[in-house]
Amino acid sequence: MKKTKVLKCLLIALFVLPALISGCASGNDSGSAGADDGKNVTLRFSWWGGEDRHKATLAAIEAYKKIAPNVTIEAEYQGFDGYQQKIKTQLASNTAADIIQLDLPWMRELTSKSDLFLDLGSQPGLSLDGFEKTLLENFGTYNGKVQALPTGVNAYCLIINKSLMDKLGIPSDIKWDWDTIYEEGKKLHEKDSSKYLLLADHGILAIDFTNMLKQRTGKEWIDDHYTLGFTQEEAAEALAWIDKALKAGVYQPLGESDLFFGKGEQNPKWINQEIPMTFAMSSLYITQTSVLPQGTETITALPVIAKDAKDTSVLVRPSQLLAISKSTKHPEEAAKFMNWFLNDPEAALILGDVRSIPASKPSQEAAVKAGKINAEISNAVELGLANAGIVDNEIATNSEIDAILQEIIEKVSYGKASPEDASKELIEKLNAKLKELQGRN
Amino acid sequence: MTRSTNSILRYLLLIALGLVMMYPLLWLFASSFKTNAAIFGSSRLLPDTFVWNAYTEGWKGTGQYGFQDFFINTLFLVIPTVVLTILSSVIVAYGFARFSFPLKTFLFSVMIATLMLPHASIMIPRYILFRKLGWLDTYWPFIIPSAFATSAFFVYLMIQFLRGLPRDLDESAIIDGCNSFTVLTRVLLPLCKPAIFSVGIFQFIWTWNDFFNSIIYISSVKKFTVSLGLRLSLDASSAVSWNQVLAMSVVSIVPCVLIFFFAQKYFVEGISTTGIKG
Repeated sequence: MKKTKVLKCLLIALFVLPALISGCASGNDSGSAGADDGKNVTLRFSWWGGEDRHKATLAAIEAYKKIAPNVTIEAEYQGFDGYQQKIKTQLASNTAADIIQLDLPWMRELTSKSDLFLDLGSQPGLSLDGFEKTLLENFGTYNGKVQALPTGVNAYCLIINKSLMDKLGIPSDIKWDWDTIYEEGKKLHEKDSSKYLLLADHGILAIDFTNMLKQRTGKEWIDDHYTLGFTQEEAAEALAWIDKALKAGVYQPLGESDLFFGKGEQNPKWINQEIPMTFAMSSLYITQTSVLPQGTETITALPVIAKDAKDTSVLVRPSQLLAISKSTKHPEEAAKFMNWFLNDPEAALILGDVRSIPASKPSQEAAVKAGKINAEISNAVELGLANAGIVDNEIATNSEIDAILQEIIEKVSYGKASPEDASKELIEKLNAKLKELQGRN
Repeated sequence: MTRSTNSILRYLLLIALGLVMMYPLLWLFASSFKTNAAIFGSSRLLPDTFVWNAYTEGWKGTGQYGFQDFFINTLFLVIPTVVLTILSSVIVAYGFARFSFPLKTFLFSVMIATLMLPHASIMIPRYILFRKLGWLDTYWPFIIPSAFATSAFFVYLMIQFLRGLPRDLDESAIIDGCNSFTVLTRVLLPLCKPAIFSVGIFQFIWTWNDFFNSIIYISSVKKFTVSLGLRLSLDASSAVSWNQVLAMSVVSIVPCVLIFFFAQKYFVEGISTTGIKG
């Protein structure tokens, strides 16, 4: 009998509880983000990152309390997994944080369909003077408005295990071109068949391929009018180089390196010091070198550029972007915080290089002067800015175009197609896809 | 002679298979004592140099909150969810399995249809609904739906189990003076133990490990669960202390493993007792 009573109570609780909860919840719905006396303001700031970035950003938020005691900043931080989906869901339902960290590849989609972000060019408390014009135009301006600001700058570079290069007797202080890197790679692999000069997965090979094209033609490899910026001959030549380099052992065979696609730092050959060089964005320098034994000297250098290159093809892009949500209740305070976060030397000293080299000049100078920035990352970005190449347009970085390119690269790398045939197929497929993409717009 | 060699062979085979299946777990545990270079650089189980502080360092977490908070949060989320799922699924399943009411087949097919819906298609409407209710950044989006038998899979599982129990039991209980409610509580529930335990175990493990829903609904780091805490510091552009991540992974699977070991005997037990005794 007792048992049934307990059960009955539970049952009643089951049906009454939700009503109670929803009653309470609707009561405090509006209170969370509002201001209680017109002065105290709560802002939400969401970002993704690793341990260092979380710690530094939290410290910066703490420091901001002294500058603006009336502003409370709620930190919403997490790892990269799921961040994009979460932000998109929040933006779709007007619950996004006031200040949001975003990634460059999402921007086109986020800004094309609806008006989600504030125009940062017209915020009185926010100065854009510190930012390079081209950087803002190429990466922050959408539909004629500055919708996001770069937090830092990254450049494509070579990451070199200098200790290993010295041991192998390969010079590490030269400017590489495609011929010299092939010769050295071939020599190294012939001398010791377990070693390769370059670490690359099919993603990196695809970048090598487009870089070769851009360097040769001096044009975007797909232009704004949905036409290809290269001939079949040029494509075949670039593919032939990749084929030749793979066969000569300049690169680790793709079958081995692709097991660690996008995670070059986990490749055992890199960790065990059998491969001395890889291409990557400068922000990956720390990740890529942190797995090497202590005392290993690593440096960064310009990526490979052909001797007679018409364009350097060196990619420079923002590491991430910051935007202010249009639904924010306190645009002024959010802009003021963002101004401090991105432009103020004090913030720069706290944040250091956790979002790569600061994009804003005053911040950058302060951080570099105080030695807060890894010298090798700084070197890579400086080289990148000084040698910056063509910026890829939105069509060239389309994910469907990318998929076609990677498929062709894989075909050549695994010896399933000759460079000749592959280039023919590439052009056919790209033209068909471009037509389709153009039709969609 | 042949029989004993046979069984030796059988045991060897089973041990070998068991090791193969256990290896990932062993590797996970062993790797929590390695350096990053050893984790990725070699395939050996035991490292040359042991790193002992992964557990203490990992437990502190990143930034403001540590795993102590994440564990407590997870329990606050998981326990009510599991209890309410069991209660609501049993009641709804009892209704479907034992009573006839208007539109029963229609309602049943609607319920089964929700089982087929891809998660992605209901995510945004659900999110908007919970936002309107003011439940974002709380655990209510997990707990409240579980009180209304929204996991069609579990309801279906219970229905199938109840259908397997002979109706004669109900009838004799009614002759003995039970009403429809006491038939459920006094006769059917004790027989349903194995099904109830499987619902409980599955829901526990799934909710415990759920990453995607948690990340969508919970924004404050203060309210993060273990599965969110584990990936708090994983990012491509910063050095990750993998041994700490792995150490915390070990700690976070402990509750699931314990639950499974302690409850698994109920899986089997009881199935044999579902009969009418003379």
